[in-house]
Amino acid sequence: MFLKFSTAYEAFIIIFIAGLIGFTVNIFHPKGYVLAPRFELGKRNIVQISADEAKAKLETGSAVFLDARDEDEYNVGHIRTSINVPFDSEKLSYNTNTWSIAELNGPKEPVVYCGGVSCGASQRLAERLIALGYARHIYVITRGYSEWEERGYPVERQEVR
Amino acid sequence: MGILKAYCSDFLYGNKITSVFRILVGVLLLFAGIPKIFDPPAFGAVIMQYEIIPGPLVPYAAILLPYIEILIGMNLVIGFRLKATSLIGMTLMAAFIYGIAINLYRGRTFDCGCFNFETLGFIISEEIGPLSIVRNAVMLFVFFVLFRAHRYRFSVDGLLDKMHLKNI
Repeated sequence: MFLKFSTAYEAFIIIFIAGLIGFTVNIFHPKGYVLAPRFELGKRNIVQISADEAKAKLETGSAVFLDARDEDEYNVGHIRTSINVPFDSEKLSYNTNTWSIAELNGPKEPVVYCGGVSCGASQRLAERLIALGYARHIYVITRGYSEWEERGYPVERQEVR
Repeated sequence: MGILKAYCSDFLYGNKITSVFRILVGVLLLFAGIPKIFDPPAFGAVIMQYEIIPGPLVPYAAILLPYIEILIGMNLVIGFRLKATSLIGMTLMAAFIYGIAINLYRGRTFDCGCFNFETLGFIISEEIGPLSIVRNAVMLFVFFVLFRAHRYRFSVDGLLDKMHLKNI
């Protein structure tokens, strides 16, 4: 036989050892490749910001504010001009290069927030936007609406019906 | 004529000349492989030029290839696991020849990136062309001879065989 099984097996072992050394060295290599899982790369687009930075964005009008909390909390009070997009909202979709939330189609950058540090809805909404295909940066107000309110920055309250 | 034929078959069976070729190819592979480990992304860019493997796989190839070259180069020099080593070598050379040939067919020429000493301070630039195909073909031939050979002079494999025979 032209090729013995043992030879092929040894060849495989040699390549395996090469891979083991190569990828181990790469981890510590100053010029090495960063081999990150796809979802980790997605998270790089999420930028954590403070309420102060968010206010600057509100004043320059360069951002569209998305409130990731549910409707009741939104109605109690929200950042001025913000749109209510609960993180599990079915309103949020992306069809043939058009977002169902019209503001996302423009040049404005999305700033996402929820109740506070531990609410997690803003992070999940940001991740969902990325999963749906949003390719630009998404800003998350780390300490959320509670920090915004504490600083006395402009809020809107819905009329209680 | 008879002497030449006998010498050729001796070469194919595995004599000192076979071993000299083996060690030369091994050293060449070490020289090709070692500089590439200093700057993986630069080597990745070289692989990218060839346009024969999909972009997302390029980093993996750039990390793996130099170490395969170094390992089989070392194996050739010391003469260890030569059948498996020459099997990998044949595959590697065939892939290199394919990569160069298809780019020549596409009508593109660029630095082959075979020996990249830029990080060590000097540059051997060689554009892809018939010469690089010939060099790889010669190496492919040496690997083929080694793969079919039965005796390896000056090698760990030969030494192990001798010890094995003594112990029988």
